[in-house]
Amino acid sequence: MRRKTILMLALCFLTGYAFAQRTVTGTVTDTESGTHLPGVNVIEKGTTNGVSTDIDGNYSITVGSDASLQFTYIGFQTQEVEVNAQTTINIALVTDAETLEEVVVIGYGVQRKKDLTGSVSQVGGDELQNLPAARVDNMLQGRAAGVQVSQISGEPGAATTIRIRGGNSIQGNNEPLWVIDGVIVGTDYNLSNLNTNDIESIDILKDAVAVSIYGTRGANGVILVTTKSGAGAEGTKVSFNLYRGQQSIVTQVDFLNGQEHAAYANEDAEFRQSALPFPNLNEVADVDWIDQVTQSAPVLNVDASVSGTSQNGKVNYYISGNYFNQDGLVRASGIEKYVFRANMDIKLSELFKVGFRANLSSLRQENPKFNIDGLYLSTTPTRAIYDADGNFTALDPITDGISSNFEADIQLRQNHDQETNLLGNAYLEFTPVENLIFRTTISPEINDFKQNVFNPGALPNNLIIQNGGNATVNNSLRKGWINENTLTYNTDIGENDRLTVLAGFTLQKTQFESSFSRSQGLSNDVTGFNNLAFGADPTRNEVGSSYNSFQLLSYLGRINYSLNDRFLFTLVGRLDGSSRFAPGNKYSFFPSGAFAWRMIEEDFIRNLDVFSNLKFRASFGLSGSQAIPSYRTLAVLNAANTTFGNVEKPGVVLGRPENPELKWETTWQLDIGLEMGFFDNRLAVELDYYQKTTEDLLLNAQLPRQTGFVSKLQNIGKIENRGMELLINSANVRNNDFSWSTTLTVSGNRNKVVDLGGVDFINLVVPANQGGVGGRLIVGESVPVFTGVNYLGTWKSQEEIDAVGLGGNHDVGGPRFEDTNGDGQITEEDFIVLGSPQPDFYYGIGNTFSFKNFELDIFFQGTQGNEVFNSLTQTALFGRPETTKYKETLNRWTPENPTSDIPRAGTVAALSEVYNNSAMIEDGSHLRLKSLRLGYTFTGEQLGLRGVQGINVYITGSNLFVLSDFRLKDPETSQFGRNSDNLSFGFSRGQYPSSRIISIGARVDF
Amino acid sequence: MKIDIKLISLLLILGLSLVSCDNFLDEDPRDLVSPTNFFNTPAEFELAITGLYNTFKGNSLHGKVGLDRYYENGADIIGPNRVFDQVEPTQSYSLSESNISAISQGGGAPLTWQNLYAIILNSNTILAQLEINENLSRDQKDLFGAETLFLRAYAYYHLTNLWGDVPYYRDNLPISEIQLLPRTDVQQIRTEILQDLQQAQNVLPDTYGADGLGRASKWAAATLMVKIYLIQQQWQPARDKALEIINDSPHQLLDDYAAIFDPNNEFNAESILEINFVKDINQNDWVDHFTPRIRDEPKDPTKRGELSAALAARNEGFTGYGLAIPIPDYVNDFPMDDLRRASNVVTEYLGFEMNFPYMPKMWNVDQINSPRGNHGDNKIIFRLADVYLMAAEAENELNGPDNAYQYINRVRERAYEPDRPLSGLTQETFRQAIYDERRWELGGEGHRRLDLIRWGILLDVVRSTEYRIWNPADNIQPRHVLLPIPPEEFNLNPSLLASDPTNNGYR
Repeated sequence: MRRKTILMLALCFLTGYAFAQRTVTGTVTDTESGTHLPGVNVIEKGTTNGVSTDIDGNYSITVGSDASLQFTYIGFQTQEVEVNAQTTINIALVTDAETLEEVVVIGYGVQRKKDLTGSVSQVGGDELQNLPAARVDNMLQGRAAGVQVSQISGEPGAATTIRIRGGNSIQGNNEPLWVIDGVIVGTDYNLSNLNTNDIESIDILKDAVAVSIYGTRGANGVILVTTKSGAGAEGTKVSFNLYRGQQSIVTQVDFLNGQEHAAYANEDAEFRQSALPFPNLNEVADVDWIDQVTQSAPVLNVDASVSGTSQNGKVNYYISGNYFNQDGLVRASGIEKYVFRANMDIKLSELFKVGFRANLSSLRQENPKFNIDGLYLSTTPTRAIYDADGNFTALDPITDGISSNFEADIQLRQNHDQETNLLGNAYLEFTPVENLIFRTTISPEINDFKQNVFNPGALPNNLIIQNGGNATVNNSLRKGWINENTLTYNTDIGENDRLTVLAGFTLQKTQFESSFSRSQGLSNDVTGFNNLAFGADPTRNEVGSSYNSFQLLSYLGRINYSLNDRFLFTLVGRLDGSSRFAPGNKYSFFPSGAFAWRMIEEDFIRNLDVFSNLKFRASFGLSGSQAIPSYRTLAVLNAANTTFGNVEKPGVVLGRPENPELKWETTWQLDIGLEMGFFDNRLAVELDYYQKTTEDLLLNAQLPRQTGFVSKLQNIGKIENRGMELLINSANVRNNDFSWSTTLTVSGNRNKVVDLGGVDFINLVVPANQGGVGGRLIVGESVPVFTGVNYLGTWKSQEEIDAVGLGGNHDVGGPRFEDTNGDGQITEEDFIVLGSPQPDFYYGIGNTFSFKNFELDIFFQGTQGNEVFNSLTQTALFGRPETTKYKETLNRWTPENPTSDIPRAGTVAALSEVYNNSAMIEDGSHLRLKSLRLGYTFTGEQLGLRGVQGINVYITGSNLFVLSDFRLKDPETSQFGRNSDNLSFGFSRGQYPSSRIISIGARVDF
Repeated sequence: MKIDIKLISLLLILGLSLVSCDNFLDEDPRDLVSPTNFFNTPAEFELAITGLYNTFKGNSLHGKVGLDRYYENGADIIGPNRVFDQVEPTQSYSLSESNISAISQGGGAPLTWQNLYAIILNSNTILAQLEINENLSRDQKDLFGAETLFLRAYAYYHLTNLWGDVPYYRDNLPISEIQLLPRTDVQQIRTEILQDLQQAQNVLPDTYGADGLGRASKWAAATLMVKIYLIQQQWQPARDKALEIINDSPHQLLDDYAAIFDPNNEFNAESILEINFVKDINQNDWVDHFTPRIRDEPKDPTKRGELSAALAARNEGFTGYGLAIPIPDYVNDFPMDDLRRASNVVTEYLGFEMNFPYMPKMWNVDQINSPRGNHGDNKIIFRLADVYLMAAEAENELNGPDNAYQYINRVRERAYEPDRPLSGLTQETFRQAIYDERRWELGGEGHRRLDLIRWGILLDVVRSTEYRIWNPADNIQPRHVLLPIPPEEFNLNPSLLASDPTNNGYR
């Protein structure tokens, strides 16, 4: 405040010396609630002189004697008051009847929300403010209708899986396109490179008319991220934010302990007539491996920003820095990053405007040294960490085979990524005549990546096979640029009609180069990956490199026509050309159109006196997906080196057949939406119905292996998605001291395979070892479905076994599966549909309470009706003594417990006998307390700190609890990681668990 | 205003014309080799043929147990020391359409099927490219062609052994045609690959220099011909071809049976075709299946520490799986005074009585040069003793034992001290002698089950053999002489069921 005043005084001194000056003070409030409004712009009309109200709605401004003051605030009507002789002017602002002046970012432009014809979700402002999230995608979960975000791993820096209105593609990419400040960064940009506190708003384009401006890349939806700028701010604003948190494991899975497991393994060996692995049960180790490899881990965030507008209003800027350090729940994993951002806009003259956005980040990702599910599968509590001599154990006590010692992995292995990313965007705007803007941008992205891996010779498994250590260094450099040139023409036709035309031409090129080197048999464990030349055996060292590039060339256009402010029409088209396709298939055109009717403008609606807003909209159009990697249309030869006379010789084999007929996947989408406002828009409801049909699906169609290949990428098949989305925003209570608002999103998506190019079904993944196909695409079913046989419990008697007469070996107490087709054997032909990872609906509920200076945010998120394929059950419930067992196996079948339906130890001789089955399918419905935030704001005055606007102190909890019946506790984790395809969704084996984070922090604004 | 719009349009058009659109969208593949611009120079053909050998070293063929799951398991020599899933389908004859993928190590039968066809597809491409190439000399073309013909024939040899009638193609067909091919009669395939092999034999060299050890010579082609003739019961050409190898090839029987398998004596004079493995570079792990695991040994478990120490003192270790060990009947039947017994059956090691018998010619307990999972031990595919025994067998079938003794006795010379030559046998008892001799001479080397099948005695033998684990005698059925075609294959190509809806009797 004080600084502003000084500046203001100085300014007055320089410019207004000759005028009579007077200081006006006052308070700005909300007419309706009486709440004091902070941040209201108070401007001396016709000048650049202006201030904004403080946290209590107070302002003070020095103006000329004949001045008039203008009070502007988003969502409220602008008011003007002549100062005359007054020195105190208190103003009560009136809510704007058309409060939907909010601006929404759409592709290649912005639009007033009330003029929107498409379906766009906006997450911004308060919802994002002070939310301690590591990545921008973490912030979206449950916040936007129709946007399903799954936190598939708890690893620091881990990406989420996002599906907007369901997945369109089967094996192609289903992740949305990310556009950051207008720069198209694709679907796989590492969002860890952004500082979440830089983000002003996130807009999500969902329907055809919104996404088709992105043509071939729009089909899965588009997420537009806009970072903060200094525009609109008065003077200089400095902000400093710090929080520190502690992460802990949410809940542990129940497994057998050491003794219990040893007893199981002995029972198994006995049954199989093999030597007892634990002749003496008293000498069995009991190690809680999960406890051993996890920790209570800290997270620390510091960020600071400076923003402002120059005195003459022609330059605005936003500069920020961020340090973030998060250790992983699993030891020896984590992320540490630095992010710097500078944004600036400069109005050079009435004709020219230039500006840039630049984000520079440097991050170090400490990769996990092993996978938690690998631990579940391979390490039982009977495995000691150290042997009698104090060395790491190398062998599994049950199989005597070499198996990883995860404590040794944590202590000895090194594996981390270092990434430096520059993402920028510079533009020039030229306005030769009023309403016509030519804009050209150049947006470079440079990403430098290095991964270092070192597995020392001291690792117990390396000691056994006497392999020495090995070290690997991976390097890659990605360079890309986009050049976009657009012309925008705005004109008013007559009183109430408006026309906006956009035409553009864009070019994009991305180039990726990588190299890797691996050194084997390192003669020492000291230099690791820092000096690969120590590899003792040059003949075993490996090197490799790769190159990849692609180009896109596009023409785009959009026409918006607003008739009478009532009827809105939009036409959009984009012609995309991609280097990835063979000549003849390179270009494709994606048109769409929309119509909206602002019914609230009609008297018969207004006269109902029910609505404060009512809009109907409908859109239809085409978008695409070019989800094939570069060069996939070409046949290739793969390296196939071999040895003759003990010397390695280079060789090649055919890698894949050529495939010139590949083309884009295309999605037709119909959207019908209704936007409603009640009680002066204190209650806003948005309802959308959509229907999407995707054709020419890129599918790795299986080939009979007599061709020498397993599969070939083809455009076949068709799937359909349809669904409903509901968004409710409600200001429940809005009083002087207390306010309460609620946001609710509910979305449901149904999809179905319509055509698979002539076949009835396609087998997808094999999630469990030799359990057969776990996921299938079946014509008429949803995408995908889990498949397997029915588990009927255990065989209770030999008579039962004989009566059923199944082929193969069966034992009393062993698992019994249903022979669906009655042919006397269990095969994949007996597989039936057991479930689907598609939820009936998913939702997010946020409540914000504020009482005086307190603010409380509670946000829940969840899914209902989805199933999870728990492939760990194959080993943890059914078979193999060397794998971790659920606690419930204590109640397994034994001669003394002959009614149990948990199989007898040892009856499963081979995992191939444990087909995927109904016991592996679990309910994945869950409710998660995603975040809870309690804050208190001290004003500068309260604290007696001059120059401080306010201090916000907060405590937050993330992921405080998950309500779920899932055995492995967190149904969102994915066995197959962040695969962008639709196939691997919903399979879990107990991956890196999500952590509970409790943080305290403070934000100081100057 | 109009002028300004024109100006802008001009600017835009200028911008557009700066890039030639057509060039801009050209693909620029820099890190890959496309077959369309390959196959020009001799070096490039050399690369492609080397690639064929590498495919044979894949896990589903010779790199892991692979093919030997079908050639050794379920016969009367080898079995696991305990219940173990990967061995079960072929060893206990629970083999069915549903568990054919579970047969491991090596990825199961579908992968074996695929990799053999990958060799065929690659071979056809090489042969077609040789035909149209204008840079190579006639001799170069013949030589590359001969080696490719051998490798393709070797792939069809395994396919027909395992599945009988199989899809068969010799031309460089497009994938869209190959994927529709039905099964071709096994007789036709064998007849034609015999012609290919004769051509290969005519052109291929006698031997290779140091940098070609492990490649197929003319004698490898000839030996494969003998094997196919025997399957076809074409006794005369079988005998003639075997004699050609015995008389004309540089190969010699070694005096010491154990020396054939000595890791320090690779590519010895007796070896005709040998797959080269190298520790750390091109390693195998089938050796681990023959190597004991310390947990099973010795017979007196209280002496385990002592045994471990004794092994460690020699830089040795029982770090294997114990999954390929002699079955009880092999141990019981193997003559005690046969000098080959020590290489095929060991029941005592370093003075410790073993819990299980092992086959030391196939194991490797050396922890320095052949550690677990990283063995460089070569795999001998064909050797001269096999050819002698095939010569004896063919001669006996053709003319009775009189002229056949010389060949079988030549092999027996190193087996007994003093010599114990066979004589005075009838054609039938000589046949029995061949059955036994091959069992002692070639145990564990990947011949046995096919021998039993071509002699027509597999079912009888399995039903009268004592096994350690499971009860194959109860399970074996006549259909088990062949494998079922993996269901996913005929699901994708229904014509595979056209000629035989029973899928070799499994449906």
